[in-house]
Amino acid sequence: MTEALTPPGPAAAAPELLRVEALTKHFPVRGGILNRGRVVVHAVDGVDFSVYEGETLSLVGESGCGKTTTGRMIVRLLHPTSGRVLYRGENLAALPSRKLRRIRGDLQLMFQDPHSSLSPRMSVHDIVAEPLRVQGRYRDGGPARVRELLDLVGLARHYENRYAHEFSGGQRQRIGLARALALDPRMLVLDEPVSALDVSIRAQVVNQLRALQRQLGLAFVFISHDLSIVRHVSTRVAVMYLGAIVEIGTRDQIFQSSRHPYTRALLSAVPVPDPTLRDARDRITLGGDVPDPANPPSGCRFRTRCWKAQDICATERPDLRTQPDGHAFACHFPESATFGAVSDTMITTGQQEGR
Amino acid sequence: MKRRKNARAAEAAAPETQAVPLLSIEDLTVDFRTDDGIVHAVDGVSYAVETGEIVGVVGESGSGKSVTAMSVLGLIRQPPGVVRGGRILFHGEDLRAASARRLREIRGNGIAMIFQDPMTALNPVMRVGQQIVEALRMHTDGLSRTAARDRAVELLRMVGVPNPEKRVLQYPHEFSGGMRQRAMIAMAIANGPELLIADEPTTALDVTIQAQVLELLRTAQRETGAATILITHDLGVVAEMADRVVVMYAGRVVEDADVTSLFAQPRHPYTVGLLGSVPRIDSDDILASVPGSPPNMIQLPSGCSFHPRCPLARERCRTEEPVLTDIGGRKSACHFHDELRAADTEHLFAVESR
Amino acid sequence: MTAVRDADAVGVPIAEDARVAAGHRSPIRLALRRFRRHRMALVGSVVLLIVILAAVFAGPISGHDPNAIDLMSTRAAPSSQHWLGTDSTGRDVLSRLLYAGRVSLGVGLSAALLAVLAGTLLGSISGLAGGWLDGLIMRLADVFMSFPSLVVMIVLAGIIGPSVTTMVIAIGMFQWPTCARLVRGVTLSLREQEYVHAARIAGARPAWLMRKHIIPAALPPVTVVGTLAVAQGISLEATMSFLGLGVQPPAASWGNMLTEAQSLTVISSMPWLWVPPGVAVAITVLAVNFIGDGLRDAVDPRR
Repeated sequence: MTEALTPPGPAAAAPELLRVEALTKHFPVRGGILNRGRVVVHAVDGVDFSVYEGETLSLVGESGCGKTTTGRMIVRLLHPTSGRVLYRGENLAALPSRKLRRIRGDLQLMFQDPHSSLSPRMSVHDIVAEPLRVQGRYRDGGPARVRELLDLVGLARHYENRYAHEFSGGQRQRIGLARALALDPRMLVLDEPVSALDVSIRAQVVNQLRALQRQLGLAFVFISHDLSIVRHVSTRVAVMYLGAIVEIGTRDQIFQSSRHPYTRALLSAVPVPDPTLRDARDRITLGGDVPDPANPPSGCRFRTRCWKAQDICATERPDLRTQPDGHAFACHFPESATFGAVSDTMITTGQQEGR
Repeated sequence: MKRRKNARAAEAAAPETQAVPLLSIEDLTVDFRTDDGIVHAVDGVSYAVETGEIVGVVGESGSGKSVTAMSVLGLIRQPPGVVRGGRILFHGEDLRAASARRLREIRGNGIAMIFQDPMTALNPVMRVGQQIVEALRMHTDGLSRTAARDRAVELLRMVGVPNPEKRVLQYPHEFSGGMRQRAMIAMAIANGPELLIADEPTTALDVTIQAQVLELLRTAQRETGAATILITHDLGVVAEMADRVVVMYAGRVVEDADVTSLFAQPRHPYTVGLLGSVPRIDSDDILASVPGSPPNMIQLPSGCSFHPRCPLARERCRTEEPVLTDIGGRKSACHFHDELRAADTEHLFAVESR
Repeated sequence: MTAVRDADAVGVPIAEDARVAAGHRSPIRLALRRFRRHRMALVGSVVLLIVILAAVFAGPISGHDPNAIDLMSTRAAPSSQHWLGTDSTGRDVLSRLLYAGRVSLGVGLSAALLAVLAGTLLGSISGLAGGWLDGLIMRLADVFMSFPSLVVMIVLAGIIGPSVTTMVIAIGMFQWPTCARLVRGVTLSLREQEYVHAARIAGARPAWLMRKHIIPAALPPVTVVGTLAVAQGISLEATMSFLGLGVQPPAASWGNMLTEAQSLTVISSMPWLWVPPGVAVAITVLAVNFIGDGLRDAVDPRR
């Protein structure tokens, strides 16, 4: 049974909820052992994308790609070094603080770690009610709203007087979700919401998230390194590498006809729970390791591990070029549009030793 | 003359040869004492590993898969752990009855282990090369330091560490995560072990690095002919690597079958649920989900530990603990495994409606 | 069938229900339970309670006016009329002892309270603000901690003039840095907790974070430190008043009662003049320290 999530895009009717322009975040780090001046980590380096109402945009990539930092900048937990975050056309950085506080309710975040995301000193009721209290919305029907939220995420109402440590990982994530929904947001950033959970619990929580999305008409920014889950929840997908988006498109465009070499390698590296496909898959094994984010390669950041790299890749950083169908990728020598499906079998183009 | 201590002892200990599996865990039971009570981490677990075979042990938190493996090499701290019963036969020799000295001979030599976090196995204040050299010299009499150094460089090259001559002099923190894992694999295969135990070797790694390391493990296994116990919660990894799969739940083995049969026709509801709830990168199928959560290990449910979450559960499941039974070349611990043979297992667990 | 509702209630193993039905395991309740297990702390609590009650009901217990001078019976040994005898001006030692308790406890408590309030405020600001403000406050704390407290207090008493207020301020001045450092540490670690991030994302201002998260988290270790500060305050007061720089007669304090013990004759032959206040200080300080130990165990983050 296939999913049929309406993919908004340039031609779709869904309004644009969030837009991110040239978003950048650099972290200064104290100089190394020899203290040769300040070292700067380029966590996020010029990222652009939009999120439309009701859709799920996934940010995928491996560690150090900047997806979590991007997510945090969207909800203003971190301030960008440069670039803009526009919510419904308004630049969040330029808003007066009172208006920003009110808008905060529209953009919420759900955390990855079920253990550090809930206060050990507060009852479940207080945890879920906190956003309401902060915004002064608790006095008017607060307790009822808390119970309504617990119902929404599938937790028994009588749990509200318990404390977080009495619950399992999956339940704690639900509590975190209830808290994120308290202010009736239009968009939720989900930072690896199920990565810390046992495999058999993940499906529960993912199904719950999707049901809620349909019910409440929420937009999701889904951050994950787990491509299999991403395939199940996304409308559109942005693939990130070393602080930049290398490819962005609808779910089918990415999983059926990816164009960027990194995306291809990433997809081929994910193990599939089907032993019959063991030797039949297109296996691209990347050589080398992810470069140091404090010292990214010149030109195209992926060139040190790319099997197609040429001279131009070192001198000129490829732009994110958008096709008419909305599919965009940043590569001087993109893969061909055919033979891009994950399940295709193809002779691998081999590996290259990293530097 | 260089003699391998392991070979000598093995000749003395095991008179028979082929019929006996390389490793046989029989009815192992391990408890842990905690403030809240006794945790029955491993509750009568039995499985075997043949020479050259890759056995994938799959389970979630609390399944006991890691504790079982650590018990093989006597790595369980007692207290708070207590190995209560069972036998661990390596080449027919019971490791539980072995002396500390004998275990030391076997560790790193006959049986080697790879951990999830390489920093656990690698000494942060010793150069990587030095650690490999020590592993080599500990188990090979008369190996000169120079020869050991050369061998260490060779090993690093074999596992794909670039510039091994330079790297051999570096400290672990100068290696990236993937490279540390490679170094640990190098240390593990240094003495050509007959059995490799890999406990979640790639869980902490990025997907592209994981692919590299898994390929390395496959190559290492092919070239040394070592049997491998691959412990993981990732069904994809199991499907790609294992010959046989042992599924564990709440400290017990619930299913034991060759990899193709297990994935094609699971014969335990937990396996069915697990397979159905795992998303696949090559399909858009809706996820089934297993209700409830893994049980409290201090007070396990009566009868079958899975019954509170099982769609097939009935009275007998509450009262009678199922035994791991042979069913034509594979094993299952479910009273009603037969019903799964013909059943449409796709709809066994709740599937999100439209 | 819609997405599973309260999935965990479906066949939850008996154990979980039992544990959850056993009552709310709020952190405070758990801490109290651990405190009760600490025997010395319980003893200390009982002793302290007795001391406090004795001080509060000083009048009815002793039946004498602590300031009533009777030059006819100075330095009288204990008798049925004066249970602990009389001092150099004929005042009843027992009633002075009990009333003095009010002063000493009061000073100890006020000073500790001042230290805790100042320390918590400065420590949390320091931790939240970071940057130069953090540096400034911490250097200030270092300065206060490195001065020899007694010397400074003596100088202060010389400048402002000795009184209860001077003492409270002086003692508090030397106890706030410990508390500030502690609270700053708690603040720094809490700042990175995701539930604090969640509050910020909901729009919480620093004042809210301090009130709702930092202070409740800091309360347990601060309580321990504060309790020990009370003990320290009591003994510091005793020292100061003993030196004549604290509570001034005719008001009684355990410290200034001890000034009697400055002549060899008194020490050797009139123990009722100095032993009671000395013992009183010792017992109270010990009791408070035991309570502090018990609190430290109760509050141990190794939950």
